[in-house]
Amino acid sequence: MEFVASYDAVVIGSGHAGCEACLALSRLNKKTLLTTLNLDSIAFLACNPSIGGTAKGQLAQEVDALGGEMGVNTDKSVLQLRMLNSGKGPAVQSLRAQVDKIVYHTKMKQTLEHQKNLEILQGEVAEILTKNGKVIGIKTALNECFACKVVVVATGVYLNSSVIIGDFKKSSGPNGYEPSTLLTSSLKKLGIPLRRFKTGTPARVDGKTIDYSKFELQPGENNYSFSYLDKPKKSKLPCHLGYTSTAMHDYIRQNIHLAPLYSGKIEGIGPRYCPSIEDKIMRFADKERHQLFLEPESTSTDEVYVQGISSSMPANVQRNMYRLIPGFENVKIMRFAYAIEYDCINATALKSSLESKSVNGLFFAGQINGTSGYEEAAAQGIMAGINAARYLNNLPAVVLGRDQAYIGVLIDDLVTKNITEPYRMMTSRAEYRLTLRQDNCDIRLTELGHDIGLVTNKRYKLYKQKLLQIKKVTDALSCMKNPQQLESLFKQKSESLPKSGLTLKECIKRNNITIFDIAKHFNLFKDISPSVLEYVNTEIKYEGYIKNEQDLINKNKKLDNISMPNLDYNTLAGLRKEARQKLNDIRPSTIGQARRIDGVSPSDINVLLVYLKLHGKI
Amino acid sequence: MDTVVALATPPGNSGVAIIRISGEGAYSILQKLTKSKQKFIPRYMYLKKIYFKNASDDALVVFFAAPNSYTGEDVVEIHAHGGYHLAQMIIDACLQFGATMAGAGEFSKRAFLNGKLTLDQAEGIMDIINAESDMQISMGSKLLNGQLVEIIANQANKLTDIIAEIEAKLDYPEYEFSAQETSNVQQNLAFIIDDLRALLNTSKNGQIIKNGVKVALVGAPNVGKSSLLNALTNTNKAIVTEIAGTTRDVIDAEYQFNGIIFRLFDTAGIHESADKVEQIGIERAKQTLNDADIVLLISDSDNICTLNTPKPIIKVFNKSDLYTPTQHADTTNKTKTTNKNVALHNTLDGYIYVSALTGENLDKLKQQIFDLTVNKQIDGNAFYLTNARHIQCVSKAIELLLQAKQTFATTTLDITANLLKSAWQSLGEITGVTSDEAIIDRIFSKFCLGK
Repeated sequence: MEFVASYDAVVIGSGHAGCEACLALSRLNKKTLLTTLNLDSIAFLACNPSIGGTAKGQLAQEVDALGGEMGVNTDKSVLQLRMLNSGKGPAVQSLRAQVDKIVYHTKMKQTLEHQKNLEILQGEVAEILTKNGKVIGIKTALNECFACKVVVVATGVYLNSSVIIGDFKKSSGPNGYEPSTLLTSSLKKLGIPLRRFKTGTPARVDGKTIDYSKFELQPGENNYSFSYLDKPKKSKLPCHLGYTSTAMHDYIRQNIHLAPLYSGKIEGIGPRYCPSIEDKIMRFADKERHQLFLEPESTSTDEVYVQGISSSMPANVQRNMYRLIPGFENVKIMRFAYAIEYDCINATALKSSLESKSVNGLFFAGQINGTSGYEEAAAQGIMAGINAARYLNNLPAVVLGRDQAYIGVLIDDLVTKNITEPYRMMTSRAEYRLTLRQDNCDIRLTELGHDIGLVTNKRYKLYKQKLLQIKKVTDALSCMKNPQQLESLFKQKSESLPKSGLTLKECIKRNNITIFDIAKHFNLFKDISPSVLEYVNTEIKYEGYIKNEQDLINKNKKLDNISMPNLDYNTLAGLRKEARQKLNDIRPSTIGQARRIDGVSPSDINVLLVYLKLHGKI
Repeated sequence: MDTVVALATPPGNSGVAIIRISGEGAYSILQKLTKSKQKFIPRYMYLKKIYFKNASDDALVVFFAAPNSYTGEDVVEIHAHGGYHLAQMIIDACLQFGATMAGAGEFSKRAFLNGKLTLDQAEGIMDIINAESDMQISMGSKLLNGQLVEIIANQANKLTDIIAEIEAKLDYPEYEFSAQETSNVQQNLAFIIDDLRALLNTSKNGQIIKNGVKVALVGAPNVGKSSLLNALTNTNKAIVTEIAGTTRDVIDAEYQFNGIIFRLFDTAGIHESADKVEQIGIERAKQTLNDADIVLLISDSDNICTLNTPKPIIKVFNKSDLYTPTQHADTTNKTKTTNKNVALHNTLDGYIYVSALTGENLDKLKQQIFDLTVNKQIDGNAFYLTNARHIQCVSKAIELLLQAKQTFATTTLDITANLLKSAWQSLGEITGVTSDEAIIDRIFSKFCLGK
């Protein structure tokens, strides 16, 4: 076999996973080739023009804290920023950005082009070449071979994908891009288990044909940035909130037989949390109306994204039903909504490092692993990139814990649980939500990112400064104040005045008093950034709850630290049949992982513990 | 691992009570208990004096050196005289010498961890324990367990609905709680709390079935408390003399009534005493009073006792044999045919007149004690919360739900969600569906304490 060129790593696919993976590899000094079906689809936002949201905001900021690109690129292209859930508590607060999808693409493409050690090539990968169970290179559809030691497969929803609109079904990637039709059989040959998932996207409509007076304005905020590296951004464009109508619901019900989902045209499994409008109306029949949001796609186009109304109805039904939305009476659809089916793998075939259990040097990241969402993809991308680089250096993989990052929860769920629908991150998937806040992403991960080698000096310096500021604030808060000094503040905040003195920290523990009130009243912390004050405020107010969670983490860690040897579970007679099969399939690396597998019961775990005990493994 | 101690025999009256100590510190605790520097050869029994608080008792002690013991660790067993309080005091002494109280199933867990028990053996032990308790309380334990799981699963299910509603609001920021939804959540939480509290209240009867009713005999010196204890239990446990202050320690004995065990604790007469040993006895009497389910306040014509306690009290007038019946229709009320009888009768309303000597009205007294403590008929078919771990789980869930109900109104939603999840997990520890806590601890806490 003749190789055109030789690389350390090849990354297949230039979506959000592929971009982070190739940047991590090349920034860790690995000579990397990024292949993509179309250079114009680099970092393409195929669905909403937004980054972040609940739990996803945390993911994106964790990627940022590790030295990834998503946050920085978001700040470069931001149209609007909002802090979601600000009234519902620090554990579930998340930043969400509307971005200019055209700028997002061009800025990321530029970043890749300027990256040292990284080359980009348009082309379809047809085969992953292996020898003795190890990756040795790739072959393109044009029959060129490139040598490499690791491959990161990040093909998104492009594998054997079909777009469906009513009766119309065509082999196609998102937005008319070419699908990847050759790689599936190569993966099958390598023994990677494949399955078929489905997702969808709403129509894009002409903003000039919308009657905005019938929608509620949703302005952005100006105090935030996505990356720790950036200054707060100004919001440029608003979003709008509207509702469906009963007339629209009636119309969809009358035409439901035309929906591919109900006519059996779609075989793939779609996500429950992101249903099409026809699905919502059939499943929640008593609901009179559903919310929808209008999101601008870019400052350089009039196209508007209609969040909440994804559909795979025939074109004429779509046109009629959209017009039954108040404010959409004269709306013109520019791109129809569609459903898309695609091949993805069963990620239980992967280790926690995202490397295949059967082929050395073969990593998978992003939607091909059965997830949904840009942030989920980027999170896997950076971890696959990091671990591919460590594989090349013969270093142990970096596996984030469920108590360490949403990224850890995401990957652990993917490789442990048999995901049956596209996996979207939600805060309720994290058992240690109070620990995994967005205000402490850098404190949780930047030191680690620095050790790995992805965190730049600039970022590391900012992080160290933040730690110093936190210490300064914490020290200042131990200062004792007597009741006279507190009287006017406590009165103003309707707090009962203490008989003896209180430290400033104790004052913040009161329900109605925040660190910002203290700062104002005692004229403190003028040189401290608001994000530091916010962090300290949360740590103090929720101290007891955070400590409880830490106790729980420590308790569960004991089991997570018991590692499982490589054994044939069929030989363990005490295990139930289902458990034996699942354990043989998933091959958990620790007892902790084993007990999170569906179908493995507490008594099965006990059998494992007895076995380990009897064989001196504990 | 730290050194743990627990009673290895069933709580209650028995010929012998075995206290088991396991862990690295077991041997040194044995030396401290016996105030002895001698070498204890493993697997040899020694008759030694065990010292605790201000008293001592003869006991057989045996030391098992690791790994040749039940748990695989150093183990000491103390075979003491049977009796609830004595065992408790020896355990207290062990705790003072650095042991900690063994958790439910702790000895079996350690045996398992040290490779002394396989899973099958461990489950075999559990079955034997269950069979024993079946006979004791004549309730099918499988039925019981099934019932409990069903009751708890039902509450956990309701809680899941509330959690799901809150989680949806957290993961979908565009949805907020409406006033109606808020009040629904509060109401549903209140329902769950009420139901769990009702369940927890059955634990009183459950504990009674398991451990018996604790009855404290309190009164001035020499009103005949010890005689009454002997008469009620038909034993000769308490030393009876005419010298006030004879009883210096808490002595217990028990009798059965309507299938329930009543455990009587005789106490030193509470009065001012210069005798140091007796003073300690008086202190202990006050402690007994605190532990009791019911108090028999005993008086005679010379000593009318009063007592201020929240516990249920039965006022007993002893030595009724010294009095002759009056014309009263109520035969329990008698007055002494002396000059002071009229005055006494007026002030002694509500007393039950008994005689330890003749046995008069003792059955009536037993019935009154039963009525006041076993608050409703113990029904062999009804469900009672008996397992200490289950009681703890339900109590914890109630506590967390109360907190959640409060934070729902005052604090951010994420905190309420956390508390509700913890409460849900607490219930899940009973139903066995919780996967978020250490499985190994849960499985093995199914074992009865001390086996």
